[in-house]
Amino acid sequence: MSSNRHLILAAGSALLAGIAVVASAVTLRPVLSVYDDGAGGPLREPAGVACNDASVLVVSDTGNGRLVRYVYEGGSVKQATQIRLPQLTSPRHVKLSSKDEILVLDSKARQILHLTREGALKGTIGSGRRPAAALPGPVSFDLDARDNVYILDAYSRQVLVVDLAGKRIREIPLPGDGGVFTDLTVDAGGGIFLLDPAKGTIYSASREAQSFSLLTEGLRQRASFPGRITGDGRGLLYIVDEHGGAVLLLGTNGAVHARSLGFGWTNGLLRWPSQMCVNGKGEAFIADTANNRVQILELIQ
Amino acid sequence: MKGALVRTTARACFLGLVLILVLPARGQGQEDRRLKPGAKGQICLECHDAFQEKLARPFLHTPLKNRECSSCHNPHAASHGNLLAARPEQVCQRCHQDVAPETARSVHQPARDGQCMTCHDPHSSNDRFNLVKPASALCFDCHKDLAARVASAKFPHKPLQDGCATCHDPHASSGAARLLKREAPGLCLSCHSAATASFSRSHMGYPVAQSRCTDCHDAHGSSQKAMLFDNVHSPVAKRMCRQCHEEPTAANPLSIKKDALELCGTCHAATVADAFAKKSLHWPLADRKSCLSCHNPHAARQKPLIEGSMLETCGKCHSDTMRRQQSSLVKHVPATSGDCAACHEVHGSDNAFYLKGASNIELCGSCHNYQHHSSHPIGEKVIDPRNGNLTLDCLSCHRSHGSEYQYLAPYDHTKALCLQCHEQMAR
Repeated sequence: MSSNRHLILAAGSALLAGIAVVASAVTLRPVLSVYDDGAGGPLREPAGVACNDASVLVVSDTGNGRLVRYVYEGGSVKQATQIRLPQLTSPRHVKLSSKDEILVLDSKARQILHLTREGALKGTIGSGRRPAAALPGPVSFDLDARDNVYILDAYSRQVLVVDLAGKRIREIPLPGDGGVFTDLTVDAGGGIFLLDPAKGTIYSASREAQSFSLLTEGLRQRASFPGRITGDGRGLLYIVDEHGGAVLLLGTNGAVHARSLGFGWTNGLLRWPSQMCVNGKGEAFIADTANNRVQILELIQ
Repeated sequence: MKGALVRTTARACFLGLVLILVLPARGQGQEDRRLKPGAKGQICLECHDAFQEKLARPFLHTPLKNRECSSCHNPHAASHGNLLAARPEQVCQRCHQDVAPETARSVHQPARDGQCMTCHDPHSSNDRFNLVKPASALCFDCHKDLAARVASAKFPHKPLQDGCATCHDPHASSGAARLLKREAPGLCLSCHSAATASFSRSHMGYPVAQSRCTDCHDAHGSSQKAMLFDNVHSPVAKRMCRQCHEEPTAANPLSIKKDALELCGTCHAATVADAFAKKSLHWPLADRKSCLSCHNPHAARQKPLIEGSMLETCGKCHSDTMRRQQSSLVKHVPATSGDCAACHEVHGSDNAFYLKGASNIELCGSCHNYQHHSSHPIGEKVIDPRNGNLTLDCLSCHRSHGSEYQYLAPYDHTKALCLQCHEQMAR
């Protein structure tokens, strides 16, 4: 009874704040936490995770300046391989291409490194306008199903779309309201979702759109600092509340389905989480940065 | 029988007519007949002789002047203090309805809250508008920081000598923020003509008439010439506008010559290089506005040219942190005072949380020396029992931006906190 009342109150306040809330039994259930690199070396402040349907999990072990590639199968992680490169000192946002190649944003080099699946450097991806050393570089990026790279470039105030060879495909200007855009995600249809944690808003642009339009606002009524966004290709968006240690689950229409997890130290709780990845099997991976681990969760619907 | 009925009906009609004619007349005359002369107010003063002093003041509230105490007070009994006929703000609103209209762009808090008597004496005053004190002194009773700044300013703004109401509406402003009668530059230009040669000369020939004057000038006075904010950017002080801006005769003279990051970096190369050498760049530096996201390039009240206080500037994005601090029962002084940079690297950091130094133990230890005499074991060798990948440090048990609980703890009492790790001690 009491929880029902809280749900009604939460829904009421969210509606007042302009967020649609959908009563839906969807949540994340903790399954496993990954603490080391398979050789006993602890993870340190991991800030990125990439996953796919082929059971590959790549972790940006940011504090140790390396990537760790795992296979996650049958509820356990195996075949851990660490990837170290001179160009890789502060790996953060990481993604897997359709060919299992790795793309990783290094926040110190301020560029996206393109690696083979084994971790050899293939090249760098960026705007190519000026030397990377003189620019702040990309804020975040994502890949679509064709492996086109969508680069969030706050300095140029645009989302730049390039192919893996760096050839420019198109650009979409960021909304012109002086927003603080920290992350984006691209769905299977090429639609882009752009996140502004300061205002608590999500903008979207369809595959052919020339500009972004407001999808939803008022997220800060439900999250302290909604700093990261990802999708699962099945109609759900996941917003990582970096300061609140939680995840908001939204529909691609912006309606909030649930808030899951919470702040803390023990398994199933998060402290200053960063990137999140959800694969087609409903397996979710979160870089639980301040807890020095990656948490693996299961999407329950 | 029939005759008796007719007589009774006629008598009833006559009595009804008498009642209709007489009763209103009785009601109308009742008050005058029953109240003593001056009962609406004059008679009150026979007992309330302390009012002689109030009556001697030069500014009397109209009801008192007309000796109509009963305009506001109920002479017999009331549900409100001082026998007021209604709640104080409701009493005032009977005559003063439009003091703070709902459509106003900004409203003074006492006016919004119906606290009229914070500023006004409802009976009489030595000052106009029945103010409880001379206008400026009254404003400075609440706006103490501003009072201190005004008092220390070498170059005061003359209109302030005539009172704050020269520029501000004390109740509400329909068209401007901060209760201003008009927004800058319109308000400023009502006294300062932009058409004069001296105005143009002062601004190096740049067409600033449409710019917001208060971006550079402190309207309450300052210790800098021309009332620029107390911290002036060196090129502005040296009148070197062209170092950053196009020529005053250019098509867009107020445009800057390069992107902000590049432009600022020509002088502040070390600061930019230092930030770019870190593992994480603070988001504003990654944005097009870059340095201008947080700094005012001309002049500012805060060092180093911070736009507003750090609470305001950092709070533009980190409003959750500010809110947490404000609503916390136990507060952390650097966060309360807006000294975010006491603990955080604001441009870039090698620390994932932009903290200064490699360890929060060292950072906290720069103010708190508990770890030198009576601390729980902490440090690189002390494993956190909750998570084998963590070692114990100050943030294992404390929340640095305020907490609902004593000692900035994250849980409601010491037991709950300690039992996080010492489960075997639970009873």
